[in-house]
Amino acid sequence: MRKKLLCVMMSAAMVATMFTGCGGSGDTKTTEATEKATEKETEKETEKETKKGTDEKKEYAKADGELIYWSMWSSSDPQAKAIQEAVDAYEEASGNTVKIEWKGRDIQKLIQAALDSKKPVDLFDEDYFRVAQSYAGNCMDLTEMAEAANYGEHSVKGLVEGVKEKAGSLKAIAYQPYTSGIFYNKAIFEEAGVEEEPKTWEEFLDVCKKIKDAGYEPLALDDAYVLYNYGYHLARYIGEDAVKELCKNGGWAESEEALKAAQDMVELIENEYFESGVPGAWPESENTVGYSESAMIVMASWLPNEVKQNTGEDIEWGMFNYPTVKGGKDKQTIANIGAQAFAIPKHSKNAQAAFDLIMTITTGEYDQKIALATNSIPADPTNEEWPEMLAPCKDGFEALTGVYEWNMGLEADADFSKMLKDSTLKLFEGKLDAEAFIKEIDASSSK
Amino acid sequence: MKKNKAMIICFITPALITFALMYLYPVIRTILMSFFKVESATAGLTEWSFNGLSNYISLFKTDIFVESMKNIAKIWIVGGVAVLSLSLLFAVILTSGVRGKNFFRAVIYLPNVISAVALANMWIQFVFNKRYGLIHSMGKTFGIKALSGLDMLSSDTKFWAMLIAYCFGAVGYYMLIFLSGIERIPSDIYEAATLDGATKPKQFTLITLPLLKGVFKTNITFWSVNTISFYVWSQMFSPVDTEKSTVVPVLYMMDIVFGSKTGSSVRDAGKGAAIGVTLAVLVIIVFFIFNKLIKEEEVEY
Repeated sequence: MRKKLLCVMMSAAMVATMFTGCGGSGDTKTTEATEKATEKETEKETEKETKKGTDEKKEYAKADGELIYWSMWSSSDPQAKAIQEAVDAYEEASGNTVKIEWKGRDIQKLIQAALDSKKPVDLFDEDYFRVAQSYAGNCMDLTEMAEAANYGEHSVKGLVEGVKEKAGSLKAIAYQPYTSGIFYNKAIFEEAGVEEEPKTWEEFLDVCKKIKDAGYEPLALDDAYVLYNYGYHLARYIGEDAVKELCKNGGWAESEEALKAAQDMVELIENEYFESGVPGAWPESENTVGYSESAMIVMASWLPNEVKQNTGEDIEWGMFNYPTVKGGKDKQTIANIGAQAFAIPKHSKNAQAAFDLIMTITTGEYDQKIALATNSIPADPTNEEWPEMLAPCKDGFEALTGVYEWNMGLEADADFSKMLKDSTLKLFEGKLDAEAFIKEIDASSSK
Repeated sequence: MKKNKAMIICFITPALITFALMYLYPVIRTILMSFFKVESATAGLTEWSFNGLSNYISLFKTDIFVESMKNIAKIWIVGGVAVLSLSLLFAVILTSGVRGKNFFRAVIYLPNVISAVALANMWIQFVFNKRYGLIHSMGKTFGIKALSGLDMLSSDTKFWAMLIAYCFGAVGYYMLIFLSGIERIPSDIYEAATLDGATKPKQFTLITLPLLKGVFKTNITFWSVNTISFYVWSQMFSPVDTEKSTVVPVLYMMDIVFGSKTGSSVRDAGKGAAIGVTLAVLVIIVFFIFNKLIKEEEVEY
């Protein structure tokens, strides 16, 4: 009898603890909103007290348990090593512990499920565009925290605006930005007697001619980037929004500019301004710039590092923004830029702590370190030092007044862009002339 | 007896539950999802809105999906004929008593051990490369312009380049299955045939082939399943964005379920699920047809 009583009591106790456990979390959920504000204040106060001695240092929010960071890098990436350093510094300064899960590029397939099932993730990073477009619905609006942290002064305006436009509000913090334009081998420019970087398409054609006359191939282009080249040129004529419009609703056959842009590309081919292997199987053609066979290439700013790693050649790079075209809409100060981005899931209970960590990584000292260690552009414009090979992009980047998306709007309809890619490849292979090219894409867009 | 039943239940339940959770649940969910408009694959049921058959209808109206189905059909038929006949040929040669059988078997099987990514890179960079690839260099050495100027990776021929590279790696696997099939046929049948004066080709067509029917069916089923799930090679041959020439349904599905690599496409998990269901139905149809077509004989080894 006694035994039975004991059994009943014990199981009752067990059930009771289970219930209190559940009740606890349920309670916090319901009162979370009202308590958050007061909680934060008390947290800050206690922190202030503990950090009175070092009041020059930033204040950090205390995390409830471990901060969990899902990273888009693999642990062996140079980015991972640089970020780890920043995280270590954060841990020391804040007293929080951070658990990093290096998911690598697979994060693209994992993160949505984690967000939907409310897995304990406090921050993650992924492609800037995908965060703003695909995951934003499950992510926290960071506007207030950003204002409090004076993020405006430490961020690239174009990228912040890009996030707001796509996601509705500031739901991602960009870092490791890239810019794009025409990269060139300085030595070849000097040898060919090119003194000034071209600003217009005519000037650009002159430069091509000079380089050709000097015995070099003016332009390189890989198959992976044919849309990028045509997109840049078309967007200079009609602007990104009009390009998107064409892709979504058709009308290629009626667009004089689309034809003109294609004719300009054909002119490059006919004058043999592209190296003979164009379009190369990536990275075949871009490497010819590294081998000092070709002079220029339209690309994004990861190019110098990529070419260096592929070819082992350390050439002196120059870069200018894509030139304007005659009668075109867009100025030279608009370029495709992008980045990686951090975001905080809506369900994270450690938002402020996660945000502090993001700021540690993407601004100030550690942003500078990451930029130098990974040969990328600093995300914080107050960081003046750029990696040597990217220094030529600095002026062009800082002069930007507008931004394009990847492929300048040609990706507006993803299904169509794949058909377009095929036609564009044929255009650059010389298998289609400008008229036939327009006819073909008009046919596949009107379906 | 009663106890026994309890034991049976005890042992079977965990397996049954795992099966239901890990296999049945996703399958049912995917089938259901293909009739709904859903943005992300893991979205809760509240975010689903019924769509009827429109996922399927819009799929078959999408050019790029139709292209991907054409590509997979070409891979299945052309690649299938090439791979299965080559692997059968190798298997017959290896069982005919050539020297160094084990060595050749290992060599032919070897590409299966290497990761597809490494193999694809080898083909792209060292064979098809038009500056220093094998084809180019051979053409140059022997003065054959058609070879040295050949660009297998241009938009017209990229698909065939990919298919050749893929088949190269696949032959060994099917060869092994044929090999074991042939080795199971008793050698006295061949001895008797030889004594009766049957030539080697005759023995092949009249003894080996009929007795390998079951193995053929196995291989065709394997080939179909592998073809349907084909996508790594597509990804390797069009590294930055998906291209018409190399696109396959699974790659297209990945693009619309997880967003494309360039990050800009709108996700549509419902449509993705519809692709999955279509592919599964295809495999079942193929399996069914070949089951009817190739009747297993009573005599088999």
